Amino acid sequence: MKRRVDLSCEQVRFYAETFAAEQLDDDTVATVRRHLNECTDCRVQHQRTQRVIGLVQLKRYEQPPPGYFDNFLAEFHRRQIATERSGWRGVRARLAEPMTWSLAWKWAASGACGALVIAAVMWFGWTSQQAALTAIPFAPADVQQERFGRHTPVAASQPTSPIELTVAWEPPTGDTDATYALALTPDVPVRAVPTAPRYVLDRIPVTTVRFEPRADF
Amino acid sequence: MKLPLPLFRRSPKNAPAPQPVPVSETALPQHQDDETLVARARRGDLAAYDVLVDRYKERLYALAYHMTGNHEDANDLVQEALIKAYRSLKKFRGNSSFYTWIYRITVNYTLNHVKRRRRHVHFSLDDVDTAIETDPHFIELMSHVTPRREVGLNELQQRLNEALQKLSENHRMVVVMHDIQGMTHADIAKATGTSEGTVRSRLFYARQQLQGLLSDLI
Repeated sequence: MKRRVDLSCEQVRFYAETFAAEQLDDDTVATVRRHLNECTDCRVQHQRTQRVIGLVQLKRYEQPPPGYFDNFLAEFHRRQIATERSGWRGVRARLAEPMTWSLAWKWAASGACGALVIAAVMWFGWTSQQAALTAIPFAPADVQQERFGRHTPVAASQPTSPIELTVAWEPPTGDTDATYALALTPDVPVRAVPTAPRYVLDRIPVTTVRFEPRADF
Repeated sequence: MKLPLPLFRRSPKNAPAPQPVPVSETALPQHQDDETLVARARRGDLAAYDVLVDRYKERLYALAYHMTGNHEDANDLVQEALIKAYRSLKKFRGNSSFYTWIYRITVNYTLNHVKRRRRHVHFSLDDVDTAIETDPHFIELMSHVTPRREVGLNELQQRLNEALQKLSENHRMVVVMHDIQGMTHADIAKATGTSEGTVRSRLFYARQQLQGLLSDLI
């Protein structure tokens, strides 16, 4: 039994232009054909569409110019190598090449030479600084007596480095409970100052270097 | 006239990846099938991939050319797509044919290119096969348009290219695949990642636009 399908003009055009007959059921095909026979607008439109399709299909005859693909593979290989040499893939590929390693050895040797030059310059600067430090004179004994009074250090080594200094200390009599701070001044390398407060601000330590007298002081 | 091969091989869903194919060393690469060549190319055999390139370059070029209307752009797009495919060959699972896979890559590259350079369209026309003279549509057109064949050919080519370039990228792609390359709606849907209904709808509206653009020729 045939089923009657009601379709609008727009639907008929859509079915007629985008479906092959075998893609639709028989009832729809019959309806579309009947509509195209009866409706002049749809029939003309359908014919125009078929002509457009025929025109566009003429583009199938277009072909690339002669010799267009002659260098296609060579160009493909060239681009592929260029692509391989870019990014991480390129780094990995270069690492696998012997030429890369020979260059790497040259670069390593150059780098080592540069590092040696820098180390030599730094060593020269450090030795120059040491020579300048050992050249600092100690104040004469009478000047030290005047400055330090009874707390005069009896001996002090010449500084062996900017932060290392050995001081021999003679404990003052009667000051066994006193604590002493070690202070450094520009003209005299070492100075011991009793920390008994003379002023309120003297309670605030002026240096982080502190020491306690030994028990036998 | 070459028509595209059937694009998509039917395969069940969740089909396991194909096992490596044993390679016959005696067979010439030109005579081997795609699966064998792909397996060899996966192992780094560039000569095998060259055969695949040689086998499909013209069809991929046709797609890119009809989409861009330009030789140089088409060549660049196909080259880039082939390089991309070679680099991604290990990701190719074999659920579809190699041609389907590489065709999709070319479609994506072409669409991206056309969208990017929408404002810089310039044409370089292909040659026309002399077989066009026997085409009934061409005969009918020439009998109405102009008696001078050469002028008619060039003008027709120019008009068709301009009309196609005025379509949106998606509409143009559907027209090129269906009306020029002869693909089915189902194959176009798979290649473009859309439904068949979308393909039909785009085709319908693209043809309506083309009617307006080529009204003096029909």
